[in-house]
Amino acid sequence: MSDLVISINHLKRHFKVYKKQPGLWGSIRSLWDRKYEVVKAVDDISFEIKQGEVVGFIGQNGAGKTTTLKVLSGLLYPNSGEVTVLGYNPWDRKATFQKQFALVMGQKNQLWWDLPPIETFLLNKAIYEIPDAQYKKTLDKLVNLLDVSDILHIQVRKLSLGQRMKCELIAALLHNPKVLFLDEPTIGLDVVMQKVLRDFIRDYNKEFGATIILTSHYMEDVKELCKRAIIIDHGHKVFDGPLQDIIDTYARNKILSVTFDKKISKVTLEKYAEVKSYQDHKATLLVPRKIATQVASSILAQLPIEDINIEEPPIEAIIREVFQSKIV
Amino acid sequence: MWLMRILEQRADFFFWGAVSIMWSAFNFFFAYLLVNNAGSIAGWDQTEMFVLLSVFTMYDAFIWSWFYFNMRRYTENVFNGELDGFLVKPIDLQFFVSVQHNSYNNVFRLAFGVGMLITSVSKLPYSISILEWLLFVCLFILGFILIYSLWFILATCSFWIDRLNNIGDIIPSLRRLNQFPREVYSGIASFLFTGLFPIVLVTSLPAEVLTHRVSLQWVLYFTFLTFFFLFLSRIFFHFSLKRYSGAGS
Repeated sequence: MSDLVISINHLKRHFKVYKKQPGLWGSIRSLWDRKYEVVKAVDDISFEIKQGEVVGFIGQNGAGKTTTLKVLSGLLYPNSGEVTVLGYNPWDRKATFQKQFALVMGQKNQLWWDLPPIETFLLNKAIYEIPDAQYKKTLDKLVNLLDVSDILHIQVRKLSLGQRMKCELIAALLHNPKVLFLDEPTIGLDVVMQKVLRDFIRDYNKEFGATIILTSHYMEDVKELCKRAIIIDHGHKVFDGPLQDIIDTYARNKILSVTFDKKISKVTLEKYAEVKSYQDHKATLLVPRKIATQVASSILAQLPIEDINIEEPPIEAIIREVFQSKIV
Repeated sequence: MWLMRILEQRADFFFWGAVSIMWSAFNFFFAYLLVNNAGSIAGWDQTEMFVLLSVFTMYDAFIWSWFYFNMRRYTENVFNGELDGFLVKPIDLQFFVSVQHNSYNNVFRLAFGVGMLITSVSKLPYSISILEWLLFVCLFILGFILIYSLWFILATCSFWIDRLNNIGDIIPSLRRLNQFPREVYSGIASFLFTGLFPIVLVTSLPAEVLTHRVSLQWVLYFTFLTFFFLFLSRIFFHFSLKRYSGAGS
């Protein structure tokens, strides 16, 4: 049996959007003359994901991440391309498929605002036809893992963002989904709560062997949870592979951090490499990867060195530069 | 869920009840004035008109309870992208969007309508058989389904045209038609509202059963069109879903 869970082939999802001309006259004119533009939210994307993988979906706002997740969940109908999740065409929206995945969107909630979270859990129990024993067992486990036993009977509107997000996750996971689409699950949370949710997602993946696609603007989420990353930009896939490979693929330079015994002029350092930052006894140099060792050896041999370090640039910086088309 | 939510705000619940009973009482009062001056309305005397208005009151309470807020929410869901949350659930989507927000404030008006119906029927010079009561209930439910189907089809247009907030108000704005017997309407109004879109029959036919006027042809025609529009609403809904674009994340 194949362990392929998600397969996308040449997926396209375009939107026709109305472009309003500015000002009052633009509004009046729009009554009879409207200009539309086609936005290629997802444009010919292909990838496959195997069972148990946790894949980071990285991209700027509007890159097409959420649109892809919505197509995978059967919310949006693709313009073209083939999509299968757990062997199903998501758009068929078969109940047997819907009972095996969950979509959690950090910016949208499914909890009933005026009622305590436990009521939404009970509603989901009925909708997903979860047997009593399984519901109780799963709920107890999730409640303990996320430490929310004291807020289950408090109106959702009175809960903090972090508490709400924990309850959103419980509501989404009560039916033990095999596939999880997490769209910015840690958005707006403080660093402590982000860590709690990350740990929880990791544990869930380990315990249930769940396949997870995670989108997040917090690189810490991706770094901690995902071995594989897919980068998309303007609807196109620009990278797909191990997170570490992003550095190998896109980082043209290494960072040389040097501390000197005595003051060295900036002009002297510029003979070796591009100077990124400079103080009297300290400097950071950007050195092309291929000659990084060679440059470090030269500096060691020719300058009064107290300490020297060769580092990879931080992944956040590399990805930022990728999007700005200025490779590090 | 919504019943629990409403009961949390009981002052609002009772106030709504009082206001809705007042609306209904005025309807009966105006009918009383009209019949008293004209003798009858299209052959319907005061008691028969009260039977019709009782049916209307019950029907109106039902549609305000189950349709008005749901259809409004449904069109907003489509525009705001809130349909996302429903589309992933393993449940009949049309059913789910149709029952997401029920208002029970009209329960008082429903009780008022039932009370008026019993009172009015008891004043009729003949008795109603069990079979007639059964036919009455069936036609009442069919009327409910017909209005639902027409309203849902209109609300589903929001997939095709952005921001159609008022489309949900078309059916409520036509409900005044249900306060009069179908014989009142002639020409194009009759063609539209008893023939093509038989909204008038929703209250008229059940009242005709109780006032011994109903004809089998109309019952069959009404039943056929009701199921036709229900079927159409499902087809149109599933076809329109392909146009769903959500909203920006």
